[in-house]
Amino acid sequence: MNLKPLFFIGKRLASMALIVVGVVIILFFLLHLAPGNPAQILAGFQATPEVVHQIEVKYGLDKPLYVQLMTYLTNMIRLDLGTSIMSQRPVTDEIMARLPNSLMLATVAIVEAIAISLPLGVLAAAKAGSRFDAAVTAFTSIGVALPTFWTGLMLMLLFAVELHLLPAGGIGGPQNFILPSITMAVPISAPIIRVTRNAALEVLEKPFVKLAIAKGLSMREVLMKHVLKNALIPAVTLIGLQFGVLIRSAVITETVFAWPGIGKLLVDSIFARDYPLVQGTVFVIAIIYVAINLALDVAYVVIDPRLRSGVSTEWRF
Amino acid sequence: MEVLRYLLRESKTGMAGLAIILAFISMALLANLIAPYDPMNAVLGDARQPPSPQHPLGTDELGRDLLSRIIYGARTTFLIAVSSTFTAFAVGTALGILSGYLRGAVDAAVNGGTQILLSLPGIVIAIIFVALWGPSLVNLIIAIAIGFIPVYIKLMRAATLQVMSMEYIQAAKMLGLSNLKIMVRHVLPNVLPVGIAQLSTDVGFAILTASGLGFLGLGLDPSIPEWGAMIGSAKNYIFVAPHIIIEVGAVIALSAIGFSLLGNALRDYIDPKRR
Repeated sequence: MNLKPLFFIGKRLASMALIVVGVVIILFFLLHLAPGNPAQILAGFQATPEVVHQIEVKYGLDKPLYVQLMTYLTNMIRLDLGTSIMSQRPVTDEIMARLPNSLMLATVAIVEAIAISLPLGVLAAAKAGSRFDAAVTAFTSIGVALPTFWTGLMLMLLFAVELHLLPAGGIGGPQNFILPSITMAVPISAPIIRVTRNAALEVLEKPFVKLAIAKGLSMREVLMKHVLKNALIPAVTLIGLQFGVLIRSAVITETVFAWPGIGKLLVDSIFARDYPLVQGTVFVIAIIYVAINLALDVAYVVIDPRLRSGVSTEWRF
Repeated sequence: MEVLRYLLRESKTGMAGLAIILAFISMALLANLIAPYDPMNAVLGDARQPPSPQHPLGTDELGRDLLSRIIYGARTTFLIAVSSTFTAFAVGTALGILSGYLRGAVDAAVNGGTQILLSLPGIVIAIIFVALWGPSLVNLIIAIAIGFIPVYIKLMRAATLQVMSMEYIQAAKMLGLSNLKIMVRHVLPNVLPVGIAQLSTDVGFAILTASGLGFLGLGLDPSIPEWGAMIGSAKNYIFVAPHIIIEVGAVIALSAIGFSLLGNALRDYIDPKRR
C-alpha cells in the first residue's frame, strides 16, 4: 500500500496545528498589549479600584502575561474557549449558535457566484474580443471594487425600503438570504470569472478541443463537455484563496443586514471588549481557513497524482 | 513610457482606470481651489439637505457641503490607502526576496509567518487593531498594511525564485558579489514589475478596507473629511438622508474601480499570456 498520501496529509495536519497556535499567540498579544485596562473598561470608569481588582482576579487578568497565555493555550487544546463576558455563556456555545448562519449564507453566496461566473467566463472566452467579452471583462474589474457595505445598502434601499419586495435584514425564510447572499457573491464572482475566462481561453487552444470541433461537435457541446470541466479546477482553487475577501464581505454584510453570524459576533465582541469571545471567534475563523486549505491540498493530490511525490503546494498561487 | 504606449494602444479599460485615478489625484491636490465651500463649515440649519443648486451633492448631518467634503476627503483617504499599500509592498518585497534568495531556515520562518497572517484575514486584524489601539491616522495605515503583507511576500518570493534560475545571477555569484548587492542590484529590479501591478489593485482595496472600517465605526474622527469616516457618520442617517451614503459610497466605488481597471491592465501587460 502506498503510504505517501497519508504522510502528506499528516504533515499538512501538523503544520495546520502550528499555524492555528501561531494565530492564537499573535492574537493574544494584539489583545493584551493594547492600551487600556480591560478590567477597568468592563467595570466601567466610575468603578472603585477594588471592583476593578475583583474583575482582574475573576478573569485571571492579574497574572503575568505568559501565565495567561499558557492557561489559554492549554484550555484551547481541551476546546474550552472560556466564558463570554457579555452573555456569561460558554464561548463555544455562543459561536456554535452563530456559525451555522454564517456557513449557510457563505455557501449560498459561493454557489451563486459559481453559478454566475462559470458560464459567463466560458462564454466570454468563446466570444473573445466581442462586446460581450468586453462587458464581462469590465465587470470583473468593477465587481471587486464595489464597497460591500454600499452594495448591500443599495440593494436594501431598493428592494426592501423602496419596493418592499424583500426583508431588510435578520434571519428567517429563504427570502432573507437573497439580498445578503448577492451582496457577498459580487466581490467573489469577479475574480472567478477572470480566472475561468483565462482557463477557458487556454483550453480552447488545446489540440483535443480543436479535434472535438473538427469532429463536428457543436460549440455548445465542446464548451459543456471540455471547456467547462477544465476551467472548474482553477475556479475552485480561487475560492480557497479568496477566503480573506469572503471574511471581509461576511463581516460587513452581516453587519448591514443584521445577520446573526460570526462576522457580526466578532464586531460586537470587539466593541464590547469581550476578549474571550474575540479570541474564540478568530480561533474558529483561523481553523476554518486552514481546514479549507487542507481540503484543497488533499483534493489536488487526488486530482493530480504528480503532487503525491511530496512536492509542497504551500506556495502555489 | 512603454507601459503608457501599451495602455494607449491595447487597453481601453486600463486607460479609463488611469484617467479616473488622475482625475481623483488632481482633485485631491487642487482641493482648496475647486471645493466650493469650507469642508469644516457646519451650518446646522442646512443639515441633511438633498442635492440642490447651492449644494450640488447636498449637505451632511451637520449641514456641511458634501461635494467639498468629498473633494477634501480624497486627500486623507488617498494618503491612508497609498501609505498602507506602500508599507505592505516594502515589507513584503524585502521578506519575499530574502526568503526566495536565502531559502533554508529564513524561508521556512517567513513561510510560517505568511501562513499565520493568511489565516488571520486582513479585515479581522484591522478591526481588532483599530478598535483597541484607537483610530488614529497611523494606526489605520498600519492596520490596513498588515493584511496586504502576505500577498507581496508570496508574489515576490515566487518572482525571486524565477530570477534566481537566470544565468546572470549565477554569474554575479561567481564574481563574488555579496548577497545583499545581488539582491538589491539584480533581483529587486527584476521582480519589481510584478509588485507594481499588484500595488495598483491594492490601493483600491485599501480604499475599500478603510471605508469598510469607517462603516463599522472605526474611521477617523468624524470632523475630519475622510471618506471612511464620512460613511461611519452617514450610516446613522441612511433612512433619513440616504443621499449622503449613496454619494460617498459611489465616489469610493469609482476610485476603487479606477485602481482595479489599471491594476488588471498592468497585470496583462506584465504577463502577455493573459491578454
